[in-house]
Amino acid sequence: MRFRIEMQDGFARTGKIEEVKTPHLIDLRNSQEVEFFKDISERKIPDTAERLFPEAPEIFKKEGVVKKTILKGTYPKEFVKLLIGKRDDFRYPRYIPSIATPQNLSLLLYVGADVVDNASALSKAHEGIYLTEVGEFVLQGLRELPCSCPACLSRDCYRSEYDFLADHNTHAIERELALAVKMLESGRLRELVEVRVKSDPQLTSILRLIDNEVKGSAFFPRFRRSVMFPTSEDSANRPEVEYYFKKLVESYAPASHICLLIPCSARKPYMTSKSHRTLRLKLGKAVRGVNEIIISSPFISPRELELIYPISFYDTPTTGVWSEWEIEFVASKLSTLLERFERVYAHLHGGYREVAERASRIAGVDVEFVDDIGELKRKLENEEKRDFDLYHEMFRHMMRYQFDMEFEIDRIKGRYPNLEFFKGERVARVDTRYGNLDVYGELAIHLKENRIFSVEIEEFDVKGTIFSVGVRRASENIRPNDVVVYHNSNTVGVGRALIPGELMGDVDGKAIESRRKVISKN
Amino acid sequence: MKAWIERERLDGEIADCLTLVLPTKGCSWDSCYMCNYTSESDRNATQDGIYSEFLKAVEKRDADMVKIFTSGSFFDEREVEKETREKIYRKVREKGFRRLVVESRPEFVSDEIADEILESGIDFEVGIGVETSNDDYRMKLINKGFTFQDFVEASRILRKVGRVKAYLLLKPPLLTEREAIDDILRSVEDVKPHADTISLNLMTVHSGTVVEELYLRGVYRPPWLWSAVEILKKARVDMICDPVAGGKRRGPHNCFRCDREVVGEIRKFSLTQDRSVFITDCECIERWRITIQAEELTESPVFP
Repeated sequence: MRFRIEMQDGFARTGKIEEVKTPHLIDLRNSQEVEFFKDISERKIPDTAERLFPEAPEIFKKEGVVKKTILKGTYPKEFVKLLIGKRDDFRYPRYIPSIATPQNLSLLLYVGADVVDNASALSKAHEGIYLTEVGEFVLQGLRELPCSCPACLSRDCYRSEYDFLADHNTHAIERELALAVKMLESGRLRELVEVRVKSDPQLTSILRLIDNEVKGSAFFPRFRRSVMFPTSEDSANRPEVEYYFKKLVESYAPASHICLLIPCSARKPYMTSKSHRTLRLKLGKAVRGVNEIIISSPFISPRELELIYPISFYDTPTTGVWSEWEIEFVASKLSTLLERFERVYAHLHGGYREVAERASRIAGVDVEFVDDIGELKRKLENEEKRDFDLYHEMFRHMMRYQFDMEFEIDRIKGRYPNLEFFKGERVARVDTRYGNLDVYGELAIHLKENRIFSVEIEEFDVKGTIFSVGVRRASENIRPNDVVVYHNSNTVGVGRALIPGELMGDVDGKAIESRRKVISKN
Repeated sequence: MKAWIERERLDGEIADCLTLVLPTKGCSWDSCYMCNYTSESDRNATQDGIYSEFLKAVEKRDADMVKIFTSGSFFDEREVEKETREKIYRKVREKGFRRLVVESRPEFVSDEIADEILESGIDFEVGIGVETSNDDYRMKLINKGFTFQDFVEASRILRKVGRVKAYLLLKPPLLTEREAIDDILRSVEDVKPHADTISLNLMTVHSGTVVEELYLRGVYRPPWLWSAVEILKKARVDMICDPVAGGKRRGPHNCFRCDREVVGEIRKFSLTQDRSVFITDCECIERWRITIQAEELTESPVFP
């Protein structure tokens, strides 16, 4: 029995068990399917029962490739403990039996379910309950059906309420599964999860507990192709957001001692927005040698990092009304950056200004608010400044953020934001799809030699995809979507990681999508 | 004290059986995962009290036979002293009951007890809750504390002087519905040579028990009545079954629509041993089949 992983994002992934695509929903009414999974699944008693029956596990234990995590009857804390605490082997498909509903399915995928079943669909049908992705209804109380699945369209053809509900409830999970897989493949599963958990306090508790548990986990991508919608407080606890702020504090090394705080724009990257272009135009040379920091919610970003994911990849609800929570969250993040400056100017109104005021108090750094642009220009002109090249600083910061290192370049070409960086030859360019740097030539070789985001592969000729079994050794800090440098004795190449480095060589399936070879002796 | 008349099989015919629960000090083992019968016992029970309760019950009602439950072991000196037992025997003879049915754990059955039974001159039937012939299940899932061999030994002693009724328990915790049925079918074969009657007990969820903890978590469900029907139809041996709390959520149940009928048929079968009494059909039988097929995957009951 083979289980191959196609892609992994956090704990969620797509793959195949033999010819069965995962994530997969087992229809327990289908004997053929049930028999197939019985043959390859382990047997074990519910973890909650182990405490009560210390000697029972050995009676039932049967090994199997498909590993079960039995969460039925657990409270959110136990639920998360069982999921995170015991997750030590990602090579095998994980089956979470008995509890899948349309409402919790995306969350189950998010926490790593490869296989689920329709037990809840059937038992709810037995009790006359009609399931939807945001909650349940008693069928008897529904005069019209809020769904157009095949079962609902042919409601009258069913002999019994149970048969109808069993079909509808199963359809509802199937449809949610299909949606969740699409969201996963396009890097947006978390958006769906946040929508769904909102409809159930227990699910919300579980997501919050999980966010707390996975802090720092290298399973979650740092760069994505998708737009993030941080629309609730729970969005601020996303692994990506958590990572961004941690990395921001570590990598931000402003070239000057003067800072200007300005508000965000809807258009990203900020510098391409009308408001930012106008402001920069009006300030003219006065803004040179000044480090801009853009205030948003829940993000703040130095100009130097505005091309990085998630800063170029989010859309936040703007109303002009800031909640106390938002102000506090953003101000506390901003305060750690203010400490790095001697002079801080701000051109901000409303909630933005409140953020800066609070950050100023927290950091103990004075902020001078200037409303009039002309006045701001004069003040900046009067400051002692050391000019720096913004695009150089962007490159330096993106390198620090992405690779924890700096690299000398001699030339920058391209039209913003599509910048290309040269050291003789081209060594990097901004990849606006993922919000990071793609690397070439000498920089790739430098990364390889310093074992930074590098992957040693077996001796074979790389064609497109590198499979996990072909990986000898991979940096443990590699996350899905990271730009990595793969190499063997004949080849050095650049690719995109599809799974965490920790799993490379360990699991079956794809590991890296090659983009180009930098050196090839073949 | 609880006492009632029920119908029982006695030598191939249907007889009135006076059934009474004597409140003794309770079972000295008191550790089985599904049992809370000690809650029905009385820590301050005296031997005089027990006997006078017994007298009250037998004086009030007439019956062909008498069955005494102590919610423990009738032969346990701690519960019913020998002197009290002798007094009970005298009364049973005096009233002309054709049979005395009691219950005991095997550790209280000895050659002395066999002599006691022989000397009483009463047609004795002793029920032993062997529950299953699978020692792993009995020890680890039921926590019964004795082995199948202990039962066989007790039975050997008892059957020289009387009859033995073996209780089998349908659906110990953690077994799937399928495993539970298979366990009983196997146990019937194993128990057959050592028992005169086999009584199939269907699990009921009692409060304060380990089984209840599982039940409240949704990972235990009492057996389907369909499972009992399948066993009674398949087992090639005389079997009786009284589905206590049948059709209740905490008792053996189907879909709650066909339960009354099926419970009735099971009772009828117990008295007649006639397999043709099972005629009820219900759409929920399909759900039972899914249960049988799927629980090995889901590791918990599919239907409530």
